[in-house]
Amino acid sequence: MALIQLEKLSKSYGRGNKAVPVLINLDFTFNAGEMLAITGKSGSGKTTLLNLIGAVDFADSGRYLFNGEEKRFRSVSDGVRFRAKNISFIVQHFALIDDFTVYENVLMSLWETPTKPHERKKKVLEVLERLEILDLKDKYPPQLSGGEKQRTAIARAIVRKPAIILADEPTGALDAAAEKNTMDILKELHAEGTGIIIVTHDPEIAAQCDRVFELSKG
Amino acid sequence: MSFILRNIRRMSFAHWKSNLLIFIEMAVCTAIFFIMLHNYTLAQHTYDQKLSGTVRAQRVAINLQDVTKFGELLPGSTLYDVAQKVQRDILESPDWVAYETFSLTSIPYSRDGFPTEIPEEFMEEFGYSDFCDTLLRGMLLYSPTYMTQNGLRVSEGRNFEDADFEEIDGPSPVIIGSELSPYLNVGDVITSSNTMDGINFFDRQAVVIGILEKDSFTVVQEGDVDINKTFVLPAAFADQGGSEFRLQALLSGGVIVPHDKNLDIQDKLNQITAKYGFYPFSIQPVNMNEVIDATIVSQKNLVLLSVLAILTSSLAILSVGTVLLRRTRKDTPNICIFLMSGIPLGKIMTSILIDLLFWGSLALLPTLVLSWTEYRAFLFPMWQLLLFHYGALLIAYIPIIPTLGRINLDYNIRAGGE
Repeated sequence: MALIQLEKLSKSYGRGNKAVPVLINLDFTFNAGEMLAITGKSGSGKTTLLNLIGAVDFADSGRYLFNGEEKRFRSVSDGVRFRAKNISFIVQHFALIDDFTVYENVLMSLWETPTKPHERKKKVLEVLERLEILDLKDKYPPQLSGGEKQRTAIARAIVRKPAIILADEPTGALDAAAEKNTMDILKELHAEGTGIIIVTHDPEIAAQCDRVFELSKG
Repeated sequence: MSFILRNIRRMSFAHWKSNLLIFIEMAVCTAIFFIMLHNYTLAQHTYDQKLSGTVRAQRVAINLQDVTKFGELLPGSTLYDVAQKVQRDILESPDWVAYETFSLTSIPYSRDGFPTEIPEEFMEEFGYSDFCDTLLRGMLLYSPTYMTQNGLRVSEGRNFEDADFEEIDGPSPVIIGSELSPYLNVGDVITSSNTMDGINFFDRQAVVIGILEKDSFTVVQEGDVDINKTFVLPAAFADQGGSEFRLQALLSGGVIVPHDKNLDIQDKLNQITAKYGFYPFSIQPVNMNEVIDATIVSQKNLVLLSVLAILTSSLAILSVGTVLLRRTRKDTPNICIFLMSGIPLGKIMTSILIDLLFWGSLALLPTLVLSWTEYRAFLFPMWQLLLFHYGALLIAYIPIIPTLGRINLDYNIRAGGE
């Protein structure tokens, strides 16, 4: 069953004569529990598509169906509410808060969920242990390696058990060992039923996914 | 709540320079505002206290149009009886408060008659000063209404009462000007007498019942009279307590304070004099230089302080607003991460507001310490200071709302790694 369905989606940046179309009448489907790679050349609109799926940005036209229900995002807050229920993000540069500890960075995802404080703590510690960064829980991001940062970002993404994880070049800033480790974790999550959409330009990463959605320019 | 508290803690450390700047700016502006408000309130308080509504009221002095007619007002004459009826009608009119003017007198001074020596600066210079050694300045009143209507109050002892103006045996009550207070106390008895060739005459005693407040003055047609070195006494002290003196003090320079400032006093007086066929009166506004000056100064102060208050508020709002906006823009990547992680925009805004109010509230402390150490009290309502302080903070916060409302997550997420 299609979890996400995008119909005739268009997106351009800029206004009037200076508007640059990035996506034109795009149709896209993502099934529940699938592991999908979005590939394409630079400027093909991979990240734009991912941001539209994650309600980080809004389409100019077209329909967005989630679980068969049409979504209309009009403000940043609409996107926040939608993501809080359904989607987590992992990005290439980790997007961690440098002034929060590893523990707090992961806990952040649970602050707006109806979870009791002691349960939150338990969940965070479980995820940190699973990703083998429990001993780093009191460290701050600037004290971590790239791989450790990415595992923290993944921990933050999975701690509230979202239906989908959107990963934008998740291994782009990592060395080979860390890259493998990250992909192993994502595949493990996929095996557990979490839907994963990875934006990548790396064919090897794409090859590890169930399906590849290739974007050509526009 | 957990996010708000943790974010405030984070911002306290991450933006300590901005917070310190907000603290200093608000502390300085609030202190300036406090001092202005304090001084203004103090000035207003002094003005109100010194120049009560009664003192500020418009008044006129009355005089017989033909001053030569005073010679006809001899006790026992028919005209004297008529004049007394006119006097009664004027004093008892429901349209105004009327009171007799004071008359100046000289009090012969000799060292023996006073508990302490009075310095020379208190002595009057008169053409006939050879007649006695020295003379002190005295002011004779005909009723306590004069004190009430001119806002004359005592800082020690008591003010005059009706009974003080009745014929009494023993020492006359006297209220002394504030500058005489180092030399005389309440309860002191003074004896005023002329000594010539070893013979005492004009032997009068008075007991100090009160000391006038500092900077007391009274108003006559010609202007203000400083009475800080003066002895204020009932007229009986100088054998002027009789009804003929009181009549003269009313008809020649008596003062009328109308209840309605638009009242046609001249017309009302004409009605009274016509009723008894008495000589007409002329009226003349009493010149209240000090009252007018104080009003002008007070109004100027109000305008000046209002302008300064607006400037201070604007300075506080601009400077705090700029720092806060820059701080928020600098923090945009983190705010985007919060939004990506599902933290609602409202909570992020609330945490910024609480953080601002926290540092802003700390900035109140120097002013509170200043007021406590310097004045031990607030002369003005606390809400005025709080209104300025928190009003400035809240206005400074306003630009944050559209700034965060328009935040471009897509752009910031893409730029995050750069």
